Amino acid sequence: MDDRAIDRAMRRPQRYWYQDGVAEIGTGILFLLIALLFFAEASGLVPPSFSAIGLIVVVFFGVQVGRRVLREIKAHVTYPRTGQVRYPEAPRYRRKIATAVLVAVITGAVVAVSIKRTLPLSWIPLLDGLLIGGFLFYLGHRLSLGRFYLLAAASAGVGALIALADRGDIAGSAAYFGAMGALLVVSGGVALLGYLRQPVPPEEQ
Amino acid sequence: MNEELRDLTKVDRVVHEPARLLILAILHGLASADFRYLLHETGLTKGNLSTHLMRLEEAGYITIEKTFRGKVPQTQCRITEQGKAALRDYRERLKRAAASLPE
Repeated sequence: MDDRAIDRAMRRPQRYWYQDGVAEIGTGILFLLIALLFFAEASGLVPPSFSAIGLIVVVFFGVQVGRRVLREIKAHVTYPRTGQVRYPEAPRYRRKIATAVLVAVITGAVVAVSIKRTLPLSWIPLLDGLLIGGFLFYLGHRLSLGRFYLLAAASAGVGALIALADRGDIAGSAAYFGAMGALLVVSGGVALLGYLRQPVPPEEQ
Repeated sequence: MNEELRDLTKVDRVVHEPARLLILAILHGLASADFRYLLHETGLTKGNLSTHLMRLEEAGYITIEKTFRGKVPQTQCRITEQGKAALRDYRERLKRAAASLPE
């Protein structure tokens, strides 16, 4: 086994988290919640700038709750079929820093666009599409999961189409997160069906 | 023969076996993994996997803990710090030897 093969073997546990599609479905549901938030503001159901605060709350609690729910689903669906793994916990301070950075970036981006209006607002979905698409592409490359490349291309494409339609930042973001949320749920669902069809290894004696 | 290639003769034979190398590489990024997961990832037979796990445990590179989940037996495997060091050392020897070969 050469060193690259050893490296690929070392990444296989990370890939396992995404193999059954459950994490994708969870992320898709989070995106749909975000879309609902933006839709509510675009429709005038909530006050302006509500989505800025709401976004931070939804993302923060969505990730915390989602992680616990995902673990439970995996404990009942995935681990009995293809085995249980425990990932090393990041040190608590590192998790707090990562959460604080995420909240700061989202807040900063929303404030910068609102105050400075440096970008035409219709470009926001394109920016979302490229950033999220970039992350999906990185995941696809790192984990050798081909369907993430497709999702990356879809993200960029959807963002570009919505930007061209010039629906504005809030309505455009609602459309982007709604479309990507649905795509992620479908993609994750297809992966889960394929996973459930695999033959199950025998019980250990 | 150059030093780096001669160094290959000193590789750890416990790690050098492909199945055991794969097991260590998989366990390296995990806090623990059960027998079923290793069976699924390595594609080995149950007997073969058990033998390799025992060998790694004897060398001190992994720990094996046998528990029950309800009535179902479960074997949890963890790589030790010694196992991580052995894997690291093996990779470094391999890289040095590969680097010393002519193009």
